[in-house]
Amino acid sequence: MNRAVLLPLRWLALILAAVVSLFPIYWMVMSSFRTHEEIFKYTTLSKELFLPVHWTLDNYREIFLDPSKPFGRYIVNTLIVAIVVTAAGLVVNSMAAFAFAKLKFRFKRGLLAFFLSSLVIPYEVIMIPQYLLMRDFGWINDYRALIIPQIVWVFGIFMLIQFFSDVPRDILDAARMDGASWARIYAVIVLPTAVPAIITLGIMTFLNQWDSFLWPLVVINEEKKQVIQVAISSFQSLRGISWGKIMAATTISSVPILAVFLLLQRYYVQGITMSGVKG
Amino acid sequence: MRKRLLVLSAALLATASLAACSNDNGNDGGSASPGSSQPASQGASSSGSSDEVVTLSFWRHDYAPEAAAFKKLIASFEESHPNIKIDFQMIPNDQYETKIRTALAGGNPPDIMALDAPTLASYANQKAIIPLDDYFAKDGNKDDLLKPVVEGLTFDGKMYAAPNNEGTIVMFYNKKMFEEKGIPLPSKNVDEAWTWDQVLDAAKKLNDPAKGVYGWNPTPWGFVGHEGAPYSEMAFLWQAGAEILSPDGKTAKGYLDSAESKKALTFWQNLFNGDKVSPKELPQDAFWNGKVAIHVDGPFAFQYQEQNFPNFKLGEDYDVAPLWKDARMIGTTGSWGMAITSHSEHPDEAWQFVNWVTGVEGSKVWYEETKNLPARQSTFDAFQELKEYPMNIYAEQLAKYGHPRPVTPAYPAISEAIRLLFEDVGLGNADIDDSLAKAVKKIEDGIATLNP
Repeated sequence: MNRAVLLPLRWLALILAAVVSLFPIYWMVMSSFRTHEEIFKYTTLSKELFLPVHWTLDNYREIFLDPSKPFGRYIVNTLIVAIVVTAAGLVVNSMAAFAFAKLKFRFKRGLLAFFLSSLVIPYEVIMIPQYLLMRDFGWINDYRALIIPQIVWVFGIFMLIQFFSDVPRDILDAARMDGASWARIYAVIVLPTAVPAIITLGIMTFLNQWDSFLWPLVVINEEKKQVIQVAISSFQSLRGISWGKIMAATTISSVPILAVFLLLQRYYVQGITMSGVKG
Repeated sequence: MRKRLLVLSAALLATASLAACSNDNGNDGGSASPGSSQPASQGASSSGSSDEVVTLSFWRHDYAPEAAAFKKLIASFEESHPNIKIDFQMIPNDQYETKIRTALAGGNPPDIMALDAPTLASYANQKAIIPLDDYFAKDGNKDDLLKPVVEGLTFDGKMYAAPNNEGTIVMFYNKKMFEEKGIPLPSKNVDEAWTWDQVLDAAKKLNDPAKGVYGWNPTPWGFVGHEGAPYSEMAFLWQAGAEILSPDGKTAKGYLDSAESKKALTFWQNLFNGDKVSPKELPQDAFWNGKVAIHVDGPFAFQYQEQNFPNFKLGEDYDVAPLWKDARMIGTTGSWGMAITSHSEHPDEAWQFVNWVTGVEGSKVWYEETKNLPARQSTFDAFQELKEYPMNIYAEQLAKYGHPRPVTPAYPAISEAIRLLFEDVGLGNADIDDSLAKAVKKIEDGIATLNP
């Protein structure tokens, strides 16, 4: 009896929550097919709020065909940066986490505390010193500035340490006895146990890079080399906002994120629950 | 909040490291000024004899119609100056100051940078940009520039930037709504501008909350976080007879907190909280969508309307009139110009480009492309349409009642203080005396950090 009442109620609550969180995305996608004139015209509940009156592809045409702002190129730029940072970051951070979790070396605890303490420093504070460093290396306006400082991610190391410390020490000792090197143990024993964590970290790194805005804005001077989020923000000017273009561009820019997430969603959820169980 | 903190910290760091750099820059600057006193010979020889190609970087905030004008001028410049290449980069508008100040702090700025008139003094004070007087004396046709423009770009007796155009704002009104309510249309004569009370009277009749229509939007983009808000809000203070700073620019005390200011703010508070004729949250494109009956905007609005709202026509759906007035008639002025950074290794070539764009001929091309209000008399003389409706309202108001924003290195603090002051009183319905005291303190602090 109780169940018969509760279940529909539960469904109703879930559907409501889904509508509330999905409607803005739906509105964004629909607005990208509207003319500028129409986007903010319909604000009350009506058919026009849900479907464009005059469907148009002009917004997409404009962002892709404008030679002064090659949107396709921005997508490729961002993909290159995001993929390289993610790949390199996974290797470097997982090795660091392995060392912190399993190896014995001098000053390990102090070093770890030192690493973790950097988590509390807001990015805004280190941005200018980092900029000066990049300038001294001659990396301003260069992808090395976008990629190299981003590879080491202390949060990622911290997260993987949690996973790696689950692997029993005995297995590692056994492998050592059989003559396996630490590198082999890392690659053959420890990494495979942490696949969900690695994938979770990979998704998070990729998202971070895909969404990064401030640092590329500051270090990249040439428009052709710019990344997608900076390009999107350039559709806002002092004297008006090209909402149509922004809607089209954000719609496009959410596609890779959705794709990555949907493909790897299973692992992602698993990774989060596991990191929660392990305190 | 986070963003504001960031811009602030970037600005602070920029100030600090610029101050640190200014020692070695000082030497540079010292040798640059005698150097720039003979730009004629140098400029001529470098463009004449050497085949070496000089590349100049030029940064500006992103605004598509103006970018197109720049590209045209750059193309013609490079054609006639084969030894100079211009590397033109546009920066997203909201982040322009962050980007420029970080680059200046990092000692890595462009050769030429665009700037909004009132930010000039803070850059000049930090010796980030160089005075252009010698260049103007040589071939800059300074006499041709309008007086308020020169005033707005002069700091410490020296002119630090060349103007692309001038700007001011006027009143826009929805003609059909006026006719529907039987309200007489405002005069198109700038000497007969409507008073605040006349506008408020009309706004009350036009206000229709049931239909989501507001009578009067007194600032072009609502309560926004950029210069657009204080630009129009300062006009209210000046119109009431108030000043923001003392004539010597040393203090806001006794000026910004005068009885006249209080009058302006009381009026402002009533618009949003008493009569509620003004929207606290401005719907997007409110005026063009018929959600606001009386609006304020710059000359660039016509182009915006043509591109985005082609069916909402000047003369049929809307018209423009001079800005409103109170004790005084005043319209805020000032717009963007171009400056040469002290870091540039090629200031003479940079000036050739600046002068190509902002000079007598360049200004005409700029006007044709952007329809912004010219900064040069010769441009005003060259185009008949500037003497006709609707541009004549801008032109005449500018000539008779233009008022530049204060030229002081503390301007960033002033801009923010005024913006927050009007937000507190309008949005927050806060106590006027308290809000004024807060604003005065912010400006005083801003001035104090300049003279440690």
